[in-house]
Amino acid sequence: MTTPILSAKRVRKIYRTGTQEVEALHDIDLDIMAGEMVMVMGPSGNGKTTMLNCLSGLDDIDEGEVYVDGEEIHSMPDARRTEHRAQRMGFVFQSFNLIPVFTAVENVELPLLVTGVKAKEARERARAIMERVELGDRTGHRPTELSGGEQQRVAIARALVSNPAIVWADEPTGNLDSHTADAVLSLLHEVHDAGQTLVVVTHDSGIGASGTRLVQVRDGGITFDGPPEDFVGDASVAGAGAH
Amino acid sequence: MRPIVAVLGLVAGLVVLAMVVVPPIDMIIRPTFRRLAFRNISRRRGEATLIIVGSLLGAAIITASYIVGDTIEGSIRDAARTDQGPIDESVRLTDATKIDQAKAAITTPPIAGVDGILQITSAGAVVANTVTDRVAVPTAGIVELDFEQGRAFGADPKITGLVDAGPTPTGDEAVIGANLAKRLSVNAGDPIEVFAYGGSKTLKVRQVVEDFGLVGYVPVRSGGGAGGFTRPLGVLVPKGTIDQLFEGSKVAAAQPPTTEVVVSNVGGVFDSVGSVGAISDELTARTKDIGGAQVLRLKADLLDNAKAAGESFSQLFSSIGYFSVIAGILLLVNLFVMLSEERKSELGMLRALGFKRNHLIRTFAIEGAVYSLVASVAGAIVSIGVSWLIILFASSIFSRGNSELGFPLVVKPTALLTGAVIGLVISMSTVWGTSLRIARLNIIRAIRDLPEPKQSKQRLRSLILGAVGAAWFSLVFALGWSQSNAVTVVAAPAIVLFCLIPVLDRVLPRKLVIVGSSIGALVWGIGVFTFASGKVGRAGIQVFVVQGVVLVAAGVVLLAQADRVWAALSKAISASGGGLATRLGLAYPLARKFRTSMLLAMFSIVIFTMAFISVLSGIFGNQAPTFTEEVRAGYDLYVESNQGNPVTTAQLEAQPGVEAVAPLTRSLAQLITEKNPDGTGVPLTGFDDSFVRFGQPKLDKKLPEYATDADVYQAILKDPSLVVVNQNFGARNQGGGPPQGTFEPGAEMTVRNNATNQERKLKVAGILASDFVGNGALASESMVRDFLAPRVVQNRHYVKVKAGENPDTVAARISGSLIQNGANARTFSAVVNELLATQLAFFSLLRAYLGLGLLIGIAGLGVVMVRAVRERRRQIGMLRAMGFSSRIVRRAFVLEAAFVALQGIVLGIVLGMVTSYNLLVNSDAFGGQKLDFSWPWAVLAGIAVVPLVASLLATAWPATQASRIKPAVALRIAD
Repeated sequence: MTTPILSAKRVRKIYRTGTQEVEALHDIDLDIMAGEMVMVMGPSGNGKTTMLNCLSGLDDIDEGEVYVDGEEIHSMPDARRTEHRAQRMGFVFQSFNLIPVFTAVENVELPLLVTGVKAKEARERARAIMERVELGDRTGHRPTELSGGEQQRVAIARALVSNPAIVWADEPTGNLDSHTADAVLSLLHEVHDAGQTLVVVTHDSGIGASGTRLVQVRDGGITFDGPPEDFVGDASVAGAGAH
Repeated sequence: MRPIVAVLGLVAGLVVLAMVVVPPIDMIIRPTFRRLAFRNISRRRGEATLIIVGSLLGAAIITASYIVGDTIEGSIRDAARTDQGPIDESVRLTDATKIDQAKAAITTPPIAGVDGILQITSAGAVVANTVTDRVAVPTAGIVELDFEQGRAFGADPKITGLVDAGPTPTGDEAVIGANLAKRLSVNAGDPIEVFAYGGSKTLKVRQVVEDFGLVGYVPVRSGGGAGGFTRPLGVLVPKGTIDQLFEGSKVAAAQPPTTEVVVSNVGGVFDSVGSVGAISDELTARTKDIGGAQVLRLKADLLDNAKAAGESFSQLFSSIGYFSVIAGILLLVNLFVMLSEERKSELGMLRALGFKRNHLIRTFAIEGAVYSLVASVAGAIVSIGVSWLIILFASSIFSRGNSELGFPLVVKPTALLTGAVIGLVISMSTVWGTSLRIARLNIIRAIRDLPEPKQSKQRLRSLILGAVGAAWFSLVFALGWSQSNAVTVVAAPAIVLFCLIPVLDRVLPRKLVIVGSSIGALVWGIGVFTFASGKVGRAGIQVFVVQGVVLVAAGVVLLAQADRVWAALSKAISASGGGLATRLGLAYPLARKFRTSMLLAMFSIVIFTMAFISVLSGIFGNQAPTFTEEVRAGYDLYVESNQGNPVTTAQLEAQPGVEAVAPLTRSLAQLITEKNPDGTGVPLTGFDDSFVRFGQPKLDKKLPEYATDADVYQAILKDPSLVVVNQNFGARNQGGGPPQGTFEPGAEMTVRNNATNQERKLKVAGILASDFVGNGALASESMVRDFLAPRVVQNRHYVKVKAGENPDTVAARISGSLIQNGANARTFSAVVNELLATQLAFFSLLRAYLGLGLLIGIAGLGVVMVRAVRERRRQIGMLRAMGFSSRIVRRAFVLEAAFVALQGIVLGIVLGMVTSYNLLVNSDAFGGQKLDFSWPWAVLAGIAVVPLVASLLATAWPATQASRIKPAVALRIAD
């Protein structure tokens, strides 16, 4: 049996605002295998992004355990978890989140520099990955000089440059027009085809259906986990379900 | 030129009025604007507080300068109450026998507006307690007046100080003021001894009274060349005491007693000077036939001097304070620009909803008006504390051991109001200016939070404005040059160079044009005192403010062009490994040139001034040996004694350890100039052969016909029409900056003896390099005596000690053994050091005052970093998501602040050093003295390190906050 690259057990997350408590996630059990392209879907406000944040270690959890490569990440001190994240994870967000004062290539090489890769090697690898995302001619441009699609491709290049175990993508096409979104999605599929494990949060059922696995999150819990073709209806809205 | 200036002034006034008036009107008639403005304030109360704190210091600094001026004026004005009371004018007589003739002339018929006259006789004396506690007051006077007539002198007995003083002293009685009693440690019933004209008289203190009114009136000069706010203390003695002492006089060199008729105008202490012009003219007319009668406008002169001194201090502190105010303006601009960037999409949305550009400006103006108003009021209140601290420090400098001199804080509502209004106008102008820039946003780019695109070529408007500006300021420069207007000469060329940027960048690379213009402005700013010394050599403090602004602006613009250098350095550091925080820390300030430039300028404008003052202070502090050599004429000791009982040359020659003595004969004359035909009191000091036996005071300049300084002095001894004068001779207002010398060798001047109405024309043969003992003009002894007799006094001596003798020991011996003459013997180096110490203390006060500006810079940097953390929250979240440790994030923020602060500090210090070096070494702004130049490294290091450390401390909190940002929270978007 293959060991999952990520294994989440009974994860629970509560948001506290003053005296109010909201259970954002509960009883999340999820194993992600290497090479999977997991699409996380669900209605807005039901916990998709929270699940991404908690499983990737960006956010703390209240109960449960999350193992990445056999190591429980939430028991690590913050510094160690940060280091682990730098080495093993990549992130793509809806609003790109490129650092505006750096050029495209400088943005891409950041994850390498932070893990101690020499500047020269980092620059070479960053250029190589930018070629791969077809932005070889845009390396010296600042984010504000790039289109939305180009910015997202830079963000994807940045997420991939350090060869992470998992790339987490939160609504990666949410800010893009349909044509550009298709191009970005194709790029993600290319990356996946090359063996990269991807977890993509989306509310687009078309995108959701294009993965190797679909996870539906509703009211903070997982209500469906299986091949997209087994899912009936629209996973981005309440009420749909499995056969 | 003048009509243009008047029109421009009128336009500027109307603009300022509109800026202040429009927001309150909008608050009433535009409820939407009001709601938006007020809700933005209440939404971020912490930031609103920071903006107010940042702006209030400006108002506090301006207001404090007025309070300091009022306090100085108030303290000097108070002398009208304590030293004069009802006295307004005096008719002073050379010949005491003509007193009845003078009184008759004044009273018959009565002069309208005069409500009393009083005869007073006085003389300089040393007063000592030789019985219970051996202590003497060397600068004192003995005064005779009739107490009954004194109480009836003027309309209000309460201001005479004699109400409770009892009858006129008789026999061996004396009445003294509380200050003298304290200095002598005597009470009623104790004996005191007065020394005058070589004799002495023991008196018994009948009563100690408060020092004010006629009790404080001691018309003898305080003596001492070192100046200061010293005032002589008097002993009210029985009638005939002075005559008795003078008749038995053994000292020919003493100044004879002063006999005068003092006049009281209708009114109290301060409201009686309105009629002084008419009354003094009438007094002059009535006494013109009485030989030696001289009319003095005592109170009017005192109040004029008080006003001038107050204005001078106000101007000095407000001018120096403007460096800090500029720092405050830059902070405000930065804060508002950041505020607008944060609200960019919101502003874009408002535009999309139908808000016009002027609506956005006016909404911002309302918000700014609230901040400005609160800051101005709070600043005015804070200024009271600031002024108190300045006065506390300043009074210790001015008092110089005279504990009875006080400087009670004078806080006038007008000062508070004026300072607050100026602070308000400055803040409002800044807010409006920034709002205009903010409102130029593009709606779509604002809504989508996209940056404004870079314009490859400047627009036509910039080209026209640049060309017109360059032409206009070239004209202004030409006019300024022709009229020797220092501010214009310093500023206009730099403005022309900056105006030329949008013109020249059409044909040359923009970067090259900017660098060229900045370097040109820097070279002009630094070298202007060399290139155009004749035009700016007599510059006042405001010229230095303008020079600082020009230099800092040019320096900051130049540094902003060095972004590639810094980027390469940052890359090199990160290439060597471990430099990620550095790279991150440098990236933001290099990318945001406007903000960084504002911060840089904020730091460097204040640091420049501090460095500049420190170098000047350090240089002057090191000149004591040079100055001593320049003034001592080969002698070792400077001896000053009481003018009523001066030491004689023979007395000094008889002292052990004394080899030679040179006496100086002195009196005051009136210097008549076109500007001041009534005359300004100037000291004339006469010397004889003995003065130049071992050398002579060094001359800075001399007539070309004399080969050496010695030749000049020999010529003066032979020719009574020749003099040498000090560099400030006749200059009245020495508020700050380089001395305002008034004479050059070869100049002719007219001096008048007011007692005889004789005038003489004197020719300036040379200018003294230094005059730390206040000789004023040095002329031949025979001329001074002949021209100013009989009111000359020989109470100043230069003494040479025998080889092997310790000058300090000999000085102490002379002071001790000739105490009855009020002898105060000091080495020349002690005299020079004492005065230098006062000047250096004043420099320290100015530095401390500038520290307020630095506080703005440091606090401003902290505020800007707080805002930067908020603004970059998502980016920090992303960095943390990518694996940047909180330590790297924290270090990046600290390095960013250090980078900005360090650049500002280094720029300010380097500019300050270069400018001061050039001013001192390559220009004759300080009278062409060749000063021994050395850098005050320790002070400069302090100026660098203290603000840097303070800046890092101010950044510590925002940096820590940044490092604690949780990536998931920062990146959270709606699912």
